[in-house]
This record gives sequence, structure tokens and C-alpha cells, in this order.
Amino acid sequence: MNNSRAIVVIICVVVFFFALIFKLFDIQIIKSEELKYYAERQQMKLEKIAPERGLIYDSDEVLLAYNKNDVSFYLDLRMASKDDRRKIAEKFSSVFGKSRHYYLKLMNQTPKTICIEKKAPGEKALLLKNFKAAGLFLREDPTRVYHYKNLASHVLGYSGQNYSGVNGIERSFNDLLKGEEGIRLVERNAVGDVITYSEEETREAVPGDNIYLTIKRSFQNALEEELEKGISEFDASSAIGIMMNPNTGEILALANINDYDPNTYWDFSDEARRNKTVTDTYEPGSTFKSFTLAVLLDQKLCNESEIVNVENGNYKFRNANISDTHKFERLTVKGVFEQSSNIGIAKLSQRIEDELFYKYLRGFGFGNYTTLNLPGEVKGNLKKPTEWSGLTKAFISFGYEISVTPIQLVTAYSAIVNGGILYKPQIVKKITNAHGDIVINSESKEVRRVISEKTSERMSSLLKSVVDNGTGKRAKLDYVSVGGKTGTSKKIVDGKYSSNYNSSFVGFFPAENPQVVCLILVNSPNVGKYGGLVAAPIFKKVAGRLIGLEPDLIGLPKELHMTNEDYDFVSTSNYSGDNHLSSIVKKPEEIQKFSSKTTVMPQLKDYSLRDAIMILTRLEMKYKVRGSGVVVSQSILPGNKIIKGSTCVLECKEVTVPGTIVY
Amino acid sequence: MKKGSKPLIFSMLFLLIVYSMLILGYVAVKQECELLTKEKFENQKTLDSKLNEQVNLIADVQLYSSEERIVKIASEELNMIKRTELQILLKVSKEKIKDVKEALGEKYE
Repeated sequence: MNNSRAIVVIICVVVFFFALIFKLFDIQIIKSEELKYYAERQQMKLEKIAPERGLIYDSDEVLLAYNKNDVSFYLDLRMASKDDRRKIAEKFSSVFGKSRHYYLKLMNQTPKTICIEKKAPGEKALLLKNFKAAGLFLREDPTRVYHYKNLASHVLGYSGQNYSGVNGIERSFNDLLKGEEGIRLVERNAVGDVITYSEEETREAVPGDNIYLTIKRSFQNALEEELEKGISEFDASSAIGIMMNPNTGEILALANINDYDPNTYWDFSDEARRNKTVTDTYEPGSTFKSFTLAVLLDQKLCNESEIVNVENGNYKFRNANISDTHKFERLTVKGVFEQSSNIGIAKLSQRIEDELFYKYLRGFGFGNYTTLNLPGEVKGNLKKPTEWSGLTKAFISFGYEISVTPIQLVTAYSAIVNGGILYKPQIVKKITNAHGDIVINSESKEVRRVISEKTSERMSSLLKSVVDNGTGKRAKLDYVSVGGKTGTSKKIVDGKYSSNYNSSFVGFFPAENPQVVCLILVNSPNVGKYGGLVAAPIFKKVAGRLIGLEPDLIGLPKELHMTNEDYDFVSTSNYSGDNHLSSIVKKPEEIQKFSSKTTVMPQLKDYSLRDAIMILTRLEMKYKVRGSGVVVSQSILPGNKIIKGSTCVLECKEVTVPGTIVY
Repeated sequence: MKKGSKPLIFSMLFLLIVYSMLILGYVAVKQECELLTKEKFENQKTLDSKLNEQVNLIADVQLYSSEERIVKIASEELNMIKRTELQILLKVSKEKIKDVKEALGEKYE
């Protein structure tokens, strides 16, 4: 009986198992595909992993642009009960410091899904990591941060809503910066919570490359601040500044004022966001005379001391009037350049053949792209000789009938002062991947030789004399030799010359071994008008600050902290090194004038010990010495009668001149 | 049937129980793996977030420790004056140095 009962139970269990197996067979084999499809649709979801956008650094590895891993919190109101809402409001209030009422009010709105916290910082999101509530979910919402706001905004550009570069470096190098998107398969439960991720289906995102620029934050800051002050001082509408290392073509700073904050780019006009250093052209005016003179000197078509009749400031050339601001009857070629005579340079330019002049100007890069890695560059306008009128060459010689971009002008000036070689301007120093391995290492690229080394040396010297004696005096620094050229040109508005001016100055320092070429271009100044009055002083301030920041530029050790206008240094005009050295080291004849016939004790103070001993020996006197260096006092006072054989005690002291450098 | 001998059905039942245990064990291990995978991904996210925070902090440090900012605040907001030892830039021409050398040579040779 017991056995039969047991057998019944066992049969039932076996039947049950077979039923289970049958059902399993049905689920796993017969309907497997269909059910798998439904299950995956409900539970599994392929999620994209956004790559981290590459970072942008300056040349000193200061972070200029980076990402903030912000997240936005959303709530599906259909799933959240009253209790859930209260719980969420309390938690968010404690984390984000807003009132509970604020969140509850948000939750009473009509939309089905609301964003209850937009772009919350990643660290705050971590505090909510273990907080669960029905209907609450988050989305990664990264933010591109430009840490120094307006600083270098036209160089950096900005990335738009889809996190892709729209302007500046962000746009030019978008493909490298954006990285590679990853994917992961996420399994979620019925309420949307993550069960797990599928490792097999995961492909990690590849972060974007990091870009190191050639610009220096400190230089950029100095340039922007001085341009802003300049705009306010000279009541101008805008200003541009570019600094370049003439020996490599590296751009050290590039600024457009008025500028914009890339963090809130939508608040600014297209005009403010445009990088005018590459997108806009202008007639360079007198700053262009340097190129005409460089051609003349390179082709040996004139010499500096040659006299030119500059017609007292008014000259009729082929029915066109050419006038000078500074009126002279005659000037040397050097004088023509120093005083920026349009008449003089126009007359001299007639010695250059049209084709040759054109070839040189093309050689300097005018009428062509510099291929700087910033978007929107234009190539300016340089007419071919076949399109020239009888006046064109004369007008080009002083910077009219030609339009150039500021970047072209700086690049060409670099060629004038660096020994005659045109370099490709560079804004990117290197590019590395996220692990720090170098992907691209930019090296200076020589485009061509434009003028001879000798011509370049002559031009540097002439440009220095413009600052020392000519129109660029206001750019002169006390301690560093500066070269440069002023320029003032009328602006063209609606195809006609207007009453507004572009005032410019292109300068470089130190003149003997240029390390920085800097263009300052001020648009429509109402005060001053001329490049020498408006742009040159701005250049001076910028250069002074640069030298203070980096004394290396002029070969001084950093610890000296020399600045142009502050108290660190005594002007050389107040303190003559030559005289000081002369007062210690006497000439032989000054010592030889003393002999045994001398009857009166001489003044030995400030004599070197060796010289003082020589004098006392010649006077047949004995001596005792205390200390070393330079004599500071003597026991037998000057003017006393000399007693031969007597002893004079000399007190000496080492003389130190703090911060002294002998050149 | 001999007394004490177990019918085949018991052996089958035993095997089924063992098999079920194995399946349950497999499910438990799989779940644990899934949990660990989830944790791994979440920890990776936390690490990324911390690394990002670190980058943000580096940017802050660079901003706050920049010399020009410190100097600006010191001079403009705190009215501090830069304390410097008087520095002198002494320019001596090459010719002068040559003259002095010659004079010294003449005197002390």
C-alpha cells in the first residue's frame, strides 16, 4: 500500500517535471526567438557612451578649455506617487540647497516628464547615486567650460549644443577633439533600474585628443587688457592684436576686442564672435612701406643716404594728389621711412618693375592664405600687374589699393626682421592623445626666403630708427631696443573712403635679436587718429608687460622682474654704467700723474685698492690696508701735506651693485 | 524487487535534484556576475567623474595661483606695493670694456 502511494507520488512528480521540461522546451526552443525579441526590447537597451572631448591647453600647459561631467535629473510624473515626490523634494533640497517647495511646485506642472535639476555637477550627482525613487532618472549632460571666459575666445572658439566645434580651434580640430563614441548594452528591470551591463556588447568611448596651443595665457591676458584700455582711452570702436615669434611663426597671443564669452556665446552677436584677425581685410597704410623699402634695398635700387625730393608734402602724380602728414622739402631715404613720407616712397617705388614688385609681395604672402589653423581665413586682395593702373604701384607702396589680413601682415613683418624667411604661422604646438602620447608635434615650417639676410638686417635697423627718431617714438621702451612702423589708413565704408581711420603699429623687440613681433590695430579711434599716437603707446604697454612677465625675451634672468614702467629699475639715463666703471677703474695716466714730487695727499676714495697702493708707492709712502675692494676712507686726509715714509691706512669695502648685468 | 535495493526512479529523482541544484547555483553565480559587472561599470563612472573633478580642480588651481591674478588682487584690492630691492640695469659698451681691459693690462702686466 505504502509502495503504491509512493509510486503515485513519484509519478506525479515525474509528470510535473516532464510538464516543466515541456514548458521549458516550449519557451527555450519553440518560442525562444519570439520571446527573446520581446524580452530584449523590454529589458535590453543599447546606450551610447559619449566620449570626453579633448582638452585645450596654452603653451605653458594651463588648461583653457575642459569638460564638466554634469548630469540632468528628470522625473516621470506618471510613475511618481505623492510619497515619492515628497521624498524626492526632500532629498534634492538637501543636496542642491533649494527649498522643498521649489521642487514640489515643479512637480505640479502638467508635462509628463519634467527636468527637476539641469546640469547638476557630477559630484552632486554622486551624492544621489544610491537614492532611488519611482520615475526618477538622470542623463549625462556635459558642459564645455572655458575657464578664463573671454580670454582667447577667438582662438578657442566654442562648441555648440551638440558638443561639436563651431568656431576657432574647437572647429578646426573638431575631428580630433571629439573622440570616438562608445556603446554599451544595458539590461533594465520593469521600473527602469539597471540590472547589469553586457561586457561583450560594450565598446568603450575613445576620448578626444588634447591640444596644446602656442599662445601663452599671460601674454594673451596682457594683450587683451591693454587693447581694452586702448579702446577706452582713444574712444575707438574695436581693436586687434597679434603677437608672433618671428623665428618660428608661433603665435604667442591673438586678440579681438570686443570679444565674447564662449561659455555663453549665444548672448553675443556674430560680429563679436568673428575672428577679424583672419576673416577681415584692411588697407594697411604706412605699415606697408616696409615691404616697398625692403624690395628697393634687396634689389639695390636705392641707398639710405640718397636724397629724395618730397615736394613739401603735396605732390601731383599722374592726376592724383599724394600728400604727407609731416611736410618736408627733401629727405634721405632713411628719413622718408622714418617720417613715413607717402610722396617719397611713391617716387622710390617707381624704380621697381611691376612684375618684380608683385613677385616680392606674393613672396611675403600677400594675396594668399597663411593656412593658419583657424576657420574663415580670407586671402586679401593683391591685384595682378595686368590689372594695375598707372597709379596702383605708387599707392600700393604706401599701403593703399591692397588689402591684407592682420595675420598676413604680422607674418610678413616676421620675415622682414628674422633674417628674411617667411614662416607658416602656427597656433598649435602639439596634439596628444588622452594617455599623453604625442599624436602631432608641430614644428616651425619655413615657407620661403623672401629677402636676403643683409636686407633683413638693414630693415631691422631702419625700423628701429623709426621708433628712435621717427613716427614710432611713443613705442620706445627705456631698456629694450624696439623697432616698428606706424600706419594710418582711411577706412572704406560702402566702397568709399570714410572719415574713420585704422590706426596701426607693427613693432618688434629686442631690435637686435627679435623675439616678438606685435601688431596693434585700432579701429576708428576718435582720439589721436594716427598710428603713432594711438597704436604705438598700446604696443609700448604690451611690450613692457611682456618683458616683465618673461625677462627671458630680452635675455634677462627671470629673477630681475624688469618692467618698463615700474620701480624695479633705475633708468640708464640716471645711472651710467660706463661712468660707474670708469670711477673705479682709473686710466694709467691718472695714476702716472702722481710722483715723489707731489706734495699734497690726493683723494683716494673710490679708487680700487690696487690703484691706491700704486699711487702711495709713487708718493713714496707706506700703507696699511683694512678690508678689500674699493677705498672708502684714508687715514691721511686729502689736501694734507705728504710726509715721505709715513703710513696711510686705507679702509676698503667690496662694492656690489644689485641686479647688475654688464652687456 | 530486492529489499533495500532502490528503484531507478529514485536515482532519477536524485539526479534531477542535483541538476536543479546546479542550475540554481549557475543562476546565483550568473546574478552575482551581473551584479559585479554593474558595480564595475558604476565604479568606472564614479572614477571618470572623480577624474573629471580633478581636471576641474587643476584648472581652478591654475587660475587662483596665476601670478598676474595674485599681483592684480594685491595691488588693486589690497593696495599692496611690490617690495623690490633696487635693481640697476648697467649698460656698458663693448668698446668701454675693451678700453678698461687694455688699461688694466697696461698697468698690471
